[in-house]
Amino acid sequence: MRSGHSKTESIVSVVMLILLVLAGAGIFFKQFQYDAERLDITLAVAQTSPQPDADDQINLVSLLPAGFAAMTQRENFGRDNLYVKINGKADLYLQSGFVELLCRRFVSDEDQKLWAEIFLYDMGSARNAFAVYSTQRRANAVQLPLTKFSYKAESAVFFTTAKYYVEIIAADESEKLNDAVLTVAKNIAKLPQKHEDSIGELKFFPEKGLIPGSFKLHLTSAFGFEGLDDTFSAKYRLGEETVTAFLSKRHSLKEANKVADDYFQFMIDNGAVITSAVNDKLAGKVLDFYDSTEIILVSGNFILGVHEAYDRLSAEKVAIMLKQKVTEVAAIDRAR
Amino acid sequence: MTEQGNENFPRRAFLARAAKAGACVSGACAAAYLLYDSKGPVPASKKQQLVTLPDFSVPAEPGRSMCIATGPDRKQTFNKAIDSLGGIERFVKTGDTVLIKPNVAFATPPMLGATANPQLVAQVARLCYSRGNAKRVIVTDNSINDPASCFQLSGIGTAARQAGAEILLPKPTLFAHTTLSGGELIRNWPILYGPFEKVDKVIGITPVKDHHRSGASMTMKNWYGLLGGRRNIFHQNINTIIAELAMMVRPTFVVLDGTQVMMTNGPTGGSVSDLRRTNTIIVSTDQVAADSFGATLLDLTPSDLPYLRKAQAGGAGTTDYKSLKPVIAEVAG
Amino acid sequence: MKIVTVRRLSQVFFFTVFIWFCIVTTQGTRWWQLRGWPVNLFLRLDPLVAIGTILSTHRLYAPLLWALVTVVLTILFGRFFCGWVCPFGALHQFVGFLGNRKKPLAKRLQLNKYRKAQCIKYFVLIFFLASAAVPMLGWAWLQTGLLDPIPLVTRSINLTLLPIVDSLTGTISATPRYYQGACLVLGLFFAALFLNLLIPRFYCRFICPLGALLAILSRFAIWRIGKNTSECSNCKLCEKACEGACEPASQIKISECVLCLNCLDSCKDNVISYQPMPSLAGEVTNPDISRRGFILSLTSGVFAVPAVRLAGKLADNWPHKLIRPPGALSEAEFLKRCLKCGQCIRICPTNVLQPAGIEFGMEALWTPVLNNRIGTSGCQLNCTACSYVCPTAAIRPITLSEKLGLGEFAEAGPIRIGTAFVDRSRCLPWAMDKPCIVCQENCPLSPKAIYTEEVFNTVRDGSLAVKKISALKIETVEKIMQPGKFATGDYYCAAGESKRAKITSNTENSIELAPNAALEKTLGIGDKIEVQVRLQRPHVDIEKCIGCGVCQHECPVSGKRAIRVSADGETRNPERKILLDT
Repeated sequence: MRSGHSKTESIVSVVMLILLVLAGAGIFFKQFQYDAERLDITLAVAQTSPQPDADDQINLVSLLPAGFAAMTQRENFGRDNLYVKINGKADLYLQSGFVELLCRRFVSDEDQKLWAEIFLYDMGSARNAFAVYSTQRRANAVQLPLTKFSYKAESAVFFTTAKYYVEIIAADESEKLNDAVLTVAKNIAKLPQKHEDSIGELKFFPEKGLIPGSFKLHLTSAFGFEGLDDTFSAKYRLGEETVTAFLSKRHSLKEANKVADDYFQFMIDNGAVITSAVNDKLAGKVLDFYDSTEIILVSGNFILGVHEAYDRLSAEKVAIMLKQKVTEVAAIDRAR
Repeated sequence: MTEQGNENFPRRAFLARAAKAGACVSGACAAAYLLYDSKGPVPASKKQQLVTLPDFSVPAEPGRSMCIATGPDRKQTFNKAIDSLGGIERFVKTGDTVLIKPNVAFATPPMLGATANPQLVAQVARLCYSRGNAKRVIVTDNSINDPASCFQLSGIGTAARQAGAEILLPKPTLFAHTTLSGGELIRNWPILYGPFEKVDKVIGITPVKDHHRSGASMTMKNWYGLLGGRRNIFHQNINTIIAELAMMVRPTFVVLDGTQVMMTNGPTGGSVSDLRRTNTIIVSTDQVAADSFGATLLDLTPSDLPYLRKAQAGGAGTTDYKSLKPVIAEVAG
Repeated sequence: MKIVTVRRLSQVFFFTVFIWFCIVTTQGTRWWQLRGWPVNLFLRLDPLVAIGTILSTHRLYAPLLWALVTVVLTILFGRFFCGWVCPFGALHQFVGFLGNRKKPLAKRLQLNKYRKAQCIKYFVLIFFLASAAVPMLGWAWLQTGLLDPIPLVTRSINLTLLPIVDSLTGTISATPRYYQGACLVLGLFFAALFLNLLIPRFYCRFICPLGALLAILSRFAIWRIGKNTSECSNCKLCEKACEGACEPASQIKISECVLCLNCLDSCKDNVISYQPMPSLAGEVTNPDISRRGFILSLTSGVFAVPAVRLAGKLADNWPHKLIRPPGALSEAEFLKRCLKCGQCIRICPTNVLQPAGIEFGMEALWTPVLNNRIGTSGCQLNCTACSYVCPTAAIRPITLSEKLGLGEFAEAGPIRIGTAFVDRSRCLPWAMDKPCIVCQENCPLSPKAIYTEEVFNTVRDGSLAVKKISALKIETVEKIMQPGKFATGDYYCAAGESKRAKITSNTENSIELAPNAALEKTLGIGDKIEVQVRLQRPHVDIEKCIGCGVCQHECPVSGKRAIRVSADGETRNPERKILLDT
């Protein structure tokens, strides 16, 4: 072995080492530059499962019955562009807490005429979903056993499930397509949901005389009164006429009394007059509003009553029933 | 090579080597620059060099674009027909190279009438030389069966050679891709283009035949033999391809041989009982008109053959052959 | 600091970087996944790749411009790439060191003597380059990748060593990776390594075509190893560890020198240096390429192509099972570029991409081919990974839009890599009357390329006579049914042409029907009924199928699949299309 080495050798060595370091640094910095989308492993591998068309929320394609296939790519609409899809109705959704709409058409493998479109509205909560569901409920609705709130009208199915409000609208009234729509609806209803939030107020409505499917949620200004928000209503039929009962939960007894008084005053201002009650318990709470009966009561944190009833006896009966039920259920809730 | 170093380090030797190294470096850089391909390869279909067949027609003369001649002898009938249109001299000029495209689709004997008649092909070639003073006559076809045996068994090979024509058998280098402007099917498709290079005139010769897929195989269908590649694919849309072929090839004239027509079991036939004697030869500068008349020999009307209407719409000719005022001639037998 | 130390550091550095690049060749953005790692760096620096593709395609694909760096530096400084950069060289050097370090000096001097046979590598090079440049009929191929050390070691690590190591640890890939014919790749790799025990750097000295190319390029190197004085003790210690077997003690063979600089380090008298002047002991600058060998290797290279092409695998005898990944060029062009480096095969997220064997033609050995029997799925709809790692654009980089025929590519349509065909003699609903729609369900396209046709077929021994009817239950005269067999929902009870009701359960002599008003009312005792199976027979919509192979992968007939993709109709070879363009 050589005893020593020259200065030149040392210099060259150092230069070479610097070059190596530079090469290493170059490689290191290069690795930060890439197109993440192209490398997205989820894009590539998400489809190794049997249902390749993966949606990040709900894979609508996987819910299609045999013999049907997706016809379009899925479409997503947010708060900014919802009007693009459902022009006139967008406001109703936007006011009710709309988050996102997912749409997709599907079609029969055999007949291109047999297609339907799924509208899956993410409303953020079951309450909001129920609100848009209930306010749009069609007159010719046929109840379905699909979910608690579901009905069928002509060739379409409407229902809520968890935070979603779902419409499936068929292009044809054939039985085959109808069956497919129902299957898809069932499959959507069966999807496991992370948040099971039920709507508490509904249990306060007595069942006797209740017209099925008549629940409605008024998120803002029920019956034209601004102060009465977040109010549920339901229709009853005890005698000849239908009676609308309503119920709104407030934060405190005080607030409930305040809103009830304001609503009472609002009615008076609009031409209602206090009238005699058949049932003594309701004395001073019954209003005559151009021949229809309005009753406004308070029970605990709840404002409740009857709206627009043309049969005073039924109206009072419903009001008493409602108040009793509210008291009972509230007592049970407290006991728990 | 060895280089001997010594203490008196030869400066010149070093400079020479450094110069060579420098030259190599510059050469490498220059080559890299010249060959540099920033875009990378493109998909195969987009970079074919496309060719287009030229127009081989001669100026039209009113009343002399179509002749329907009748007679039992092909040679005499053809002579009569071509003379009625102004003689071969009108079409073939001194020094021309002529390409004859007979129907040599099958390796069947001439008797069966599945291929062009050898004597007729030979007569056309002979006239091109003797009266048209052609420099060269080439005969070609991309046969369905093996081309060499087709030319041999159909008798066209021998007959044409005896008449002085050259037989050009198809081979891969003779094919080039073409796209018919306005065409749906002939898009970037290989055709037997080689024989058409340096050719002045083109003559199609074909018998009248029944055709299972298209109804009838005549002069327009004859150009099918120019297609290369997996051309069977076009049987999916036979009427359009025949019309497009007529739009693609603008011949000098066509000879439709209806001396014996194949009435049934076309296009191959297989028995003389498939044939019927109709003793007619059509020579026409308008192939659509020729085929429209030819249809009547098969007891068809032009409307039975959709490709005729399509070809007319594509500007390849007219189905109303009567409007051309065809010359009617007769040769006594 | 000693220069040999730096050289060793450099080798360790580049070897580590190389192994790292192999490890990260996997789809994803974590720091140990592909990200922006320039995994093609070594292949791009490899001048044999650049020159080979230039000869075969007459173009220099942009990323291969990096090779110019190596070329210029080699022209000026000699074969630094072999001694300082090449990961395969480093491996050889290390194995050779381990194998030979205990041998006596005389033996080592003997091992490091120059051998006439070292000229073989030039003939290997000439053979490959000649066949890459064959001008006849546009025939040419690139086979350098078989022996070019960079593709060779890339392929060996990616397709054999890493999967073996990873199958023990399971860190890189969740499921074990399989590569058909990998043992041949591994065999070549280890053969090359073990030959170092015979003679150090055996591969580099005798076989390596890249080394040969660099040797020719270093002909005019300005600096080279040589003696700076004639006063040499001739101790020959400089040849003890000479990696290139270039004999610096006598007339040094410049073309064989790999710049390991061990001679410099071992010379006691500082006689040897890296200098601009020729060695004072004399030097041989020209590679030892005999005229006869040159002509022989050139002609055999030229003739090898048409000889192999005699098989007609590029003509009418094209192998229909050769399904190339999306973006692959037409077969002729593909073979002019593919290095067989195996990076595409490695990065394929489903492992469906495989190295080809010689069944697709000798020239296709180790090129990428889809094998839908291997891997976790077929070619994934949203994946273009293989096209982006290809160093030579044999698989040209495609975007997802181009692959799927979206946006500006809508007119061209999706890239088809083949077409699926249903084998009706093996398909369960077609051949065995067993319900199955697995292929239809798994077709990833939208709308699906597989659709089904509904058929009701009477099962074997399914013609029965009614003995008794009560509500939805029908008792039969025969007692031949296997209890529960028809309760799957696929079986129906039929009476006459159109009347049919689903069977919900059965015993050996009774069936129970799903509510269907029509059927049981019309039946009477003694009537004939038939047990039918509802079949959905799959059909492939040839206009939609892109040949991804997911259906084939999922087909429950797991031997020879009942739906199989064949390369018919692939986009890259327009002459293989089945349908007319419409």
